[in-house]
Amino acid sequence: MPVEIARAVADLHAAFPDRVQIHEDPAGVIVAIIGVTLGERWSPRTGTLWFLIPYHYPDAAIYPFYLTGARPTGGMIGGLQDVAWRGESAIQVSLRHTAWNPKLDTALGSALQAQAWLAAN
Amino acid sequence: MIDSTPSPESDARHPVTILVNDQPVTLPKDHATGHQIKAAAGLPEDLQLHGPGEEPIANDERVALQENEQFTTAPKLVKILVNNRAVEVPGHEVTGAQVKHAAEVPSDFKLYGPDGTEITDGQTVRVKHDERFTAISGQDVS
Repeated sequence: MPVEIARAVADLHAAFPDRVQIHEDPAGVIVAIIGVTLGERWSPRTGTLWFLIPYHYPDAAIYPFYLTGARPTGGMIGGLQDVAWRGESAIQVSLRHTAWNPKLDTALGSALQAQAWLAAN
Repeated sequence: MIDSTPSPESDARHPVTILVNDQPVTLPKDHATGHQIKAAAGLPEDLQLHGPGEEPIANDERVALQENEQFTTAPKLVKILVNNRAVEVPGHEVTGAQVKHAAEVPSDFKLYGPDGTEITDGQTVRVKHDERFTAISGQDVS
């Protein structure tokens, strides 16, 4: 595992103790954060947030995110769509960094921001 | 002027008036500790005291005093981590904007505290040494 990805994984483990699962992948590392709190439109109000830390991280940004284990009760809103993710039904969360800065931005920051968006939407 | 070596003059008991943050403060002797100077000036102990040459003076450090010498105080710097990089912020209570400024990240970045909650620019938070913060560029729905 490249050192930058290993550091990102360590950050995620520290920020979400006992809630991070890591799956090695040819494209990088797939991260699952369990027990992410969701907003009022979701049922249930927690789910698992998935994303790929690409092999070329941090030069490559985190995009997109996927959510499993919950659905929006009132239908999809912008940024959400049903997809198949690793053979499982999931909701793609299309949050894209418009000015990703490899020298400053981190996978943890990206995940925190996605988590905040899901809690507010 | 720092003088950590005891001398016969150390116990001289003539009062000396110095300036602390431009305010006159009279001490009973011509030597005092950082703690004594701040106490005489009515200032909190957790401020960092600086001597006439801008040198930091610790609370238990004894310094020689001369009439009208200028002393200043400033919030003690606190070392925190932003995106794994150590930065210093001016004191234990800082705004989100101060954290971003110290970390030299763009002002339009979002900032998250150690518990993962967002901290807005104008929000004041209490920080501890080595606490971890995360700053990140914005995301848009695509």
